[in-house]
Amino acid sequence: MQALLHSKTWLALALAASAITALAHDVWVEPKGDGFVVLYGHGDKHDSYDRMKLKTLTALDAQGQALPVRRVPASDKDAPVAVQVEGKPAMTLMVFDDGFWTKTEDGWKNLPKNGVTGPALQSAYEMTLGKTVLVWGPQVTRAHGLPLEIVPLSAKAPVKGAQIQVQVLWEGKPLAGAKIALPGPDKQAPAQTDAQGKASIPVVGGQQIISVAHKLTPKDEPRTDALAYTANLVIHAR
Amino acid sequence: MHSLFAALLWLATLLPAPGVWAHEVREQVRQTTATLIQLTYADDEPFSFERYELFAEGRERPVYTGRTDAGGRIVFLPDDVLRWRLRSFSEDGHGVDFSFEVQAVPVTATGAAPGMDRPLRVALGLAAIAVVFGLLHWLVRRRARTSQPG
Repeated sequence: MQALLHSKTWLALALAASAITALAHDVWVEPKGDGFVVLYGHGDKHDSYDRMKLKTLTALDAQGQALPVRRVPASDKDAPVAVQVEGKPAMTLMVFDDGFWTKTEDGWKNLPKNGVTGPALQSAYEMTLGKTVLVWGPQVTRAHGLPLEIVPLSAKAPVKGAQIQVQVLWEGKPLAGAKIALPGPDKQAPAQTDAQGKASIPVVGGQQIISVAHKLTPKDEPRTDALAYTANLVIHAR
Repeated sequence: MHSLFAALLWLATLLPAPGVWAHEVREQVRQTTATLIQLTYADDEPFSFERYELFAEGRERPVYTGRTDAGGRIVFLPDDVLRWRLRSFSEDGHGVDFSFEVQAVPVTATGAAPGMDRPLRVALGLAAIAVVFGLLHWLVRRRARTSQPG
């Protein structure tokens, strides 16, 4: 069938650099006081969430050994999960199950598509797998068994203005062709992983969230059109 | 004879009155040249099914409104307006608000519009009515002649 319309002008416009998933929310672990909080949102803008969505939060020391983690009362309604870690954590790993999300005429609903009234414009089951590097060392360059994972290829702390080399793994294997949004206001095309799942990302100063998404299409699933995994790597650079 | 007369009258009522035609919706499918805008997130994910407003330069009200499609696309016909402004935001605040220019390209149809033109359809309808009433008139006169005594 012939196309109804021929395109005359293509205006490909990149939106906010941190936006990744259909919902465009990041979830990450950030130090706060003598502990850590799990944040949900974009940059300085945080939204509240159901604390039950946080499935696991693991802290590792510099040798990659798990440290005891305990939840503590949260002081901020927009950061419902706060934890304290015994010992000196070098990295945190997190699994955040955001559940079913369906876009309707009235906006996004945290429901399966067969649970909304009216037509479902778009739907996904969202899962975020987070990694925050606190201390750089060899353990940073290891895979930690997350379904989707960004692994830095150097144990050295990234420097502002340089590039960080990363490898994206899906179920432990390199994920080729994955797109990683680049930081900055220039609306650049995203970086794309090569056949080994590797890509270079410019390092900006301060906290930087590097994210990658991988979507699967489930068969015979009336509740959603996609299983959307998002992995992030949170780094700090000077 | 009366039953035939009634049937013809009923047939005549089936023909739409000219006033009814004023409310019908007609369709034309043609191929033409349009402007395509595509909105994506920074990782190339489409900015899909989000509301947008397209303003022609100097107008306060949008000329086009709607939602981007699954691919984050907006297709519109700029006609002779060269400068446009697009606003499109998701509920969590991501989006764009920018102005842009399009090239002046006359919109021409490259395919024939299917279906009959309206004047032709009106003429055909009037002809059908005339035929029905002519037939009625002929039948009435014929009936009158045959019913006259010897």
